[in-house]
Parts: sequence; C-alpha cells; structure tokens
Amino acid sequence: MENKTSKLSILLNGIIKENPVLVLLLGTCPALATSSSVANGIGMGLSATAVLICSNMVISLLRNVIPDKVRIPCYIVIIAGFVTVVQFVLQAYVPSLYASLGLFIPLIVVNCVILGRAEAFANKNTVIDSAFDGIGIGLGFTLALGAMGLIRELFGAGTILGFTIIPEQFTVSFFGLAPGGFFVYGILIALLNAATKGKALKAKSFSCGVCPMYSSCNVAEANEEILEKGAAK
Amino acid sequence: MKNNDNAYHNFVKPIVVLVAICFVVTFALAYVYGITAPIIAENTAKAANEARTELLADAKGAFTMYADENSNTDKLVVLEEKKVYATDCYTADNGSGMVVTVKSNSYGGLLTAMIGIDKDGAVTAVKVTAHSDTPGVGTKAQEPGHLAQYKGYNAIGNVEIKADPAINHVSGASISSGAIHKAVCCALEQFKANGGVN
Repeated sequence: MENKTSKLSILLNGIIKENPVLVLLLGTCPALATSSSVANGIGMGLSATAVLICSNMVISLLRNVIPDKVRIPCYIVIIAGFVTVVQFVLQAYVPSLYASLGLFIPLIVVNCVILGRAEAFANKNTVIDSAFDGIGIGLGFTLALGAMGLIRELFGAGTILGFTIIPEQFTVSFFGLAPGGFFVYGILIALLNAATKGKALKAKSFSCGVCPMYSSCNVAEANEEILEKGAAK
Repeated sequence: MKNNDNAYHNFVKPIVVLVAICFVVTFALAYVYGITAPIIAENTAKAANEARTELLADAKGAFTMYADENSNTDKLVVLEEKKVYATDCYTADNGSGMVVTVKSNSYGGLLTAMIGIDKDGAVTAVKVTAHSDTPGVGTKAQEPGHLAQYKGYNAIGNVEIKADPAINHVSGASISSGAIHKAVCCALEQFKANGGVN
C-alpha cells in the first residue's frame, strides 16, 4: 500500500487479499441483508462500488483542503451526496432494483466499507490510486455479495437470476432467510481462509492501518512502542 | 498573531470548508433531482396504473382521474369522519368501471385498500396496499381467499361485517376484516355518488 505499488496490485488487493466482506469483515449488514438473490447482491455491490469510486476520488482530491477536525463530517456529506445521486438514478432508471433494495440504498451512506476506505486509503493517496482502490474494493464487495447471492438463491429458491435450476420441492428456504445468510457467510470466509492457507486473514498490511480510528487510537501507538523496543533489544 | 492563526485553523477554516462542501453537494443534488424527478414521477404513475389494471382488467390500463387528494376533494365519499374515507377515484376510459382507493381505520391504524368496481356496480377485486396490522393475525383478513368473497359484491348488506350475511369475517381478525369491509362499502358509496360510470 506504499508509494511504489502498481495500479494493478491496488486493484487486485481489494478483490482477494483485502476483500472487504470476507477478509476485512466490513459491510456485513448490507452483505447479509441484500444477498438473498444474485440480482440483489450484484445490484447492491455495483451501487456501493459507484459510490465508493466517486467518494474515494473526491476525498482524495480534497485531502489537503479538508481540516483534520471536521474530516469525518466532510466525508459523510460527500458520501451521502453520491448515495443520493445513486438513489435518484436507480429510482428513475431501475425501479425494480430500487424497490427490492429499498432502505439499504440510503444506508450505503453509513456503510463502513466506504468510510473505512476514505479514512484508510483515499486521504493518504493520489486521486488515481484512490480510484483504483475504489474499483478493487468495490469489485471485491460485489463479488462477495454475488457469490453469497448465488448460493442462497440457488439453494433457497432453486433459481439463478430467476431461472429455475432446482425444482421447488428440493429447495431449502432456510438459505433465503437471515440464518441461512450467516451460514453461507461463515462458510465463504472459511473457504477463502482455507484457499489462502490463512494468509489473507493474518496479513499485517491491514491489521491496524485500515481501521478508521487508527490515527486517534492509543493501542496503535502502544503497539508501535512495543515493536520499537523489541527491535532495539 | 499566533493566537489569531490558531483561531483561524481551529475554528474558521473547518467551518468554511464544511459549509462549502455542503453547498456544493446540495447544488449537485438539486441538479440531479431536476433530471430524474420527471422520470420518477412517470414511473410512480405507471406503477399506480398497473395496480389499477390488476383490479380492473377490463379497463385495459387506461384510467382518468375523477377525484384525488389534490383536486375535487369534495367529491370523495367519507363514510366515517377521519376513519373511513376515499382518497382517490379513477374511472376507466372505456367505461368498464372505476378503481377507488380507500383509507380505513383498522387494528394498527389506517390501512389503504384499492377496490375495483365494474360498470354494473359490482366489486371486481380488493387489494390492501398498505397497513400496520399484526403480521400473521390481522393480515389473515388480507389473504386472497378472504378477499375473493367480495367479487361480485354489489349491494351493501350492512357496513358492520358481522351483520352482513353476504360476507364471512375472519375470526381472530375481526377488526381488520371489518376495516376492509367498511373500505369496500365506502368504495360502493363512491360509485353511487359518482352516479355510476358514464
């Protein structure tokens, strides 16, 4: 995540190594609530991605203008602005998606993935890098939601994107409900962890640095002190 | 001098920046809203029209407003003041009937029902579009099986559902089924008040 990383690695970072939903465990609420079908999951993912790219770029652009004291309100106003734009656009051009996502569109404002990236990445990096980070993290979010939606829709309703795959009498409606969401979520995290042999979850690169409270957190300073002492010995 | 600098950085600059960002965002939103508002209004009207078509298929989707909350309010029937009243009424362009939206006081507050009436004054279909009744209890009165009783219902036996022999109320949901019954009666009164369909 330092100066020399290539655009591609920033992009790929968000998809697997720092997947917001499956590795950083951010944005869990919309991930569970809107992943009951593939179309909803991907729709939610793409809406959040659009907001994330725009807000990352604008926040990065204004990173030297916004005073530290009011940065969180500034970020929220910018993010809320983009979310409202997305809401208007969806309502006007994709009313069916707007109806099924409902309350979760305005709730993108407080989606911790977006605020988390603003704090952890956009206010420290250039506009272009922030845009790539937005695309990467957004795609990671979309893929995770799409995967959860695919599994839940297939086993819960027996369909994929509305096409029947499994006859109704063999479906398990449990998958479409909230407990099924947790179940699928847990299994996906376990699978990703197994596939990366635990590296994704242990990676130090996001341990403290991505936390929105990092700069004001005492634990971080204490950790650094301990590390320094250790190095001195 | 240093104090002034501090005051500027601590108080003035944050306020100015935040206010400026708010203004820019506000104007940007106003601009986007200006573009999307007409499309959203069109979508809403289309959705309402589809709901009406569902209740009165014979109208083939073409309706004209007879009265709603903004115009001709005096022509809307009030069965019980602030408890059971019509909020809008649309007539089919081809004269096949009308669709009336009624608010009626139920267990959890006002529910909204849409009632289709054909040109002979008989109910074609009833649908509850909004309510705050208990799911699984009061909502039993909104199930298609119960509402199907109203198909062909054309003369008010009694506005109280329990006293009306033509309709069976849902036991355990008598307030909700009574509210829907009054809504249907209100719609039939509206049909009479209009003088039928021309």
